[in-house]
Amino acid sequence: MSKQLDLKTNNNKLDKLLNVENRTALMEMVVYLRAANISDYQVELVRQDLLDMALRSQSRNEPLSGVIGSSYQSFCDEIIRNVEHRAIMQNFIQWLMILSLSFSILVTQDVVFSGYLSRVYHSLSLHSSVDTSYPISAGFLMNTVVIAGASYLIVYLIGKYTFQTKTMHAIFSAISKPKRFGFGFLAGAALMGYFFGIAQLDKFVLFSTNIIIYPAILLTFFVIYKINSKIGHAHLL
Amino acid sequence: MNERSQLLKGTLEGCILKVIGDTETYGYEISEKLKANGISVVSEGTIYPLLLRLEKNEILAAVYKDSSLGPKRKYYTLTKKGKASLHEFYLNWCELQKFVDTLFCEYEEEQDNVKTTGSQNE
Repeated sequence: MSKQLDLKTNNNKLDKLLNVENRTALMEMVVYLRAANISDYQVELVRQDLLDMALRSQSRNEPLSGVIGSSYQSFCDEIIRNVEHRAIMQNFIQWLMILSLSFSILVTQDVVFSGYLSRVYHSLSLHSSVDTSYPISAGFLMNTVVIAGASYLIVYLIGKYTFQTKTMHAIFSAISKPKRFGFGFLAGAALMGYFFGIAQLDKFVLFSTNIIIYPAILLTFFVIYKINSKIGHAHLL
Repeated sequence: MNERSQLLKGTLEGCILKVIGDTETYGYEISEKLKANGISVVSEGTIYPLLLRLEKNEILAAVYKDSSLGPKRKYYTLTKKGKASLHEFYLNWCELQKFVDTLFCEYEEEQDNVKTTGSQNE
């Protein structure tokens, strides 16, 4: 097991020893730290120190706020300011890992949901020749970019605003029901519009490729992901 | 109180280096030693980011050791650079102390005179 995974597993075990209040506080802090430009290994090291502080304050029946102050966000900001930040190379490896994993998942999803496999099955059952050309549509490319970007943005926003969840909940609760319904309707309509747009873009085939290339691409991206995660762990990403 | 905190901020780093210079120690013990020496406003959380910075700047070296509570505890020692920083802090502090003492040597006397004049006028 790599050094980072080992540390993470150990921290997860220790996390179970915390009381509910301290566990929630620690979870919020770790989520916030993960959104910063710090390596995952560095976050786990800080988490280990925070666990030590929290467990010790727990054993003294002292609130965690008595040790690290009442503003957990300010405390985390101080930590972020004072630890080693990810180098450009580490950032590059991290991005390559995310992109290669996302792409390999989306390529698989595209092949499964495009109906191509059922067409192959149909051809095989009729003992006719299988069409190996696979169309790459503008819709697929658009979807890939949007899903990868949106996933990153969601994770980033959750981390960045983790200490504001109560405030946001209060703001949301203060909005009247008709307004909430209106926002929900607009979001739903935007989503429907997006799906409709993607369906239209799916009709534009940019180029066709041999289906055998697809598993090769998939494998290549997965290998890139694996190599990067090994390099990442070696450089303590 | 705020002025005291500001004064403390400037000297806290040197005090931490002195505590670590005496013996290999960890965050909580450092804050307890500082409290025992009269610096009561310092908690473990206050000094933790400072310790991280000193470690990043290679003034401190840290090793993890097993603790009874579960998580490994980080113990700090001074590096060569840290020892030099501590010595530099001490020299600067002595100089500053001398400077402030010189500046304030007649202050106490003046204050006493002001008090005496005030009571005579009453």
